[in-house]
Amino acid sequence: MNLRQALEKMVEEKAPFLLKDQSRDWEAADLLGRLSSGALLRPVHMLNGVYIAAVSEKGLMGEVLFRLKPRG
Amino acid sequence: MTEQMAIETAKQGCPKALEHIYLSNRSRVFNLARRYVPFREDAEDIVQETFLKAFNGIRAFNADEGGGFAPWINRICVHCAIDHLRSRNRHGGKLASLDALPQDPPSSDPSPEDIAVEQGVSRRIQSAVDNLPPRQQVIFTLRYREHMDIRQIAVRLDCTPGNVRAQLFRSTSKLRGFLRTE
Repeated sequence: MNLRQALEKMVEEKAPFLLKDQSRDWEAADLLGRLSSGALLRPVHMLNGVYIAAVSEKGLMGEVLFRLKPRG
Repeated sequence: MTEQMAIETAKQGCPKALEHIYLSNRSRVFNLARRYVPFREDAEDIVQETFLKAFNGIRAFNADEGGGFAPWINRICVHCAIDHLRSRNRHGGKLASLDALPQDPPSSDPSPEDIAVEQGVSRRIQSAVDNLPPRQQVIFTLRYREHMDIRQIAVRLDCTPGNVRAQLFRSTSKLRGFLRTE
């Protein structure tokens, strides 16, 4: 799964989460419009309700890109 | 996948193993967190923080120390609950925090020996506190580290002042026991 697929899944499923990075909270749809195509192709692992994390070429978990934050 | 296998694989960074650990521990950790905060949303925050910290530190987990994975992640959860309550106390605006009070000027600079002794005592106490049951850890920390009064703790944990007093009595008795046996 890449970041685009993870974000599209959230949009399609109307996931009750915002994505929190170091600066602010994002809607999945906003990120789909803002991130570069390279960034969206990045392989990720989404742990529902917890995070979206980068995944290395070897398939190992890397840094947490976004925490999933329940909508207020 | 057994839990032991999942942990060993998760230590290598395998996302599926981390997910397995999350799914098999989440409800227990949530129930534990729920005991320390009155609102479900706060418990959800604590659960998220617990797993993020646990996954960050999973390489350091040693099954031979401290009785297995469940007690290990429970301890992380308790620390996260304490941090959460602390943060609420600071930012909630309803309860006074010692941080907001003026500090007494130091009477004199402590010597290196004083600092070493103080740090040693502090470590022993912290180690003893870590051995308390989770709820007693939280109540003890809120009372003696955060300087909340009994009523404030009862409100924060949604229990009676009598319950807080009883837990404090038990925790201080246990701490005396721990520290005497060292």
